[in-house]
Amino acid sequence: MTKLVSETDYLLTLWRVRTHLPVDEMPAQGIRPDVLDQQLPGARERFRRRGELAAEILRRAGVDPDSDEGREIREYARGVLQRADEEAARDIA
Amino acid sequence: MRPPPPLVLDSSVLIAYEIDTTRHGQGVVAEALAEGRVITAPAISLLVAFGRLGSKTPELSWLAYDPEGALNVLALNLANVSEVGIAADSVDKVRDVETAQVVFEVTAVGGLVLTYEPGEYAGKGVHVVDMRPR
Repeated sequence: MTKLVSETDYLLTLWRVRTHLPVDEMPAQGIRPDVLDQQLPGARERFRRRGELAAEILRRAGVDPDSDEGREIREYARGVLQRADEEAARDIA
Repeated sequence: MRPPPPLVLDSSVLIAYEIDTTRHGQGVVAEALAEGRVITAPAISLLVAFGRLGSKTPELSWLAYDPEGALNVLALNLANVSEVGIAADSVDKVRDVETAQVVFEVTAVGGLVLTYEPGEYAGKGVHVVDMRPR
């Protein structure tokens, strides 16, 4: 099952990356949508088209997502991302 | 609940994206993108990858230069250049500088490294995901 990040969380994370802002230093009130749109031009549209882009990546790789190979690749990918979430939750301080 | 952390791809993953015949690299990028995760790579990681791959890099070039912006390239600029230079084990070896920028970016934004070379980050105090198949 593919997990989905909300559009707002995507934009805020992208904004943090571009500004080098630690997650703990995010303003409690968040960032106004119009400010995000101004500072991240086109990002909202790219988020909405992310499925098309993901499909294009697989198509370029010659992978049919519905084939046995495609399913194996997605299973591997989801395993990596699950490990990423588990690793992120681990305290390494 | 916090959103998932930004993913930082190092040169080992970028190289695999181009040449790994299992297509696992493309699969991870595609799946992460579909989930709405933010995917990044330091500029130096791209430099190392392009340097090692040579002139034939159709897939990596498409990913890096795609105007849709699947990959967010993290520049080396005044915001990070002094920290990266000081933190590098040696500025004479570009791979050491790459590791320093990866660590800087991951630390700065609370992200994690995806890599096929986890040993590069041993003892660096950052979250690392080993991409090698289990």
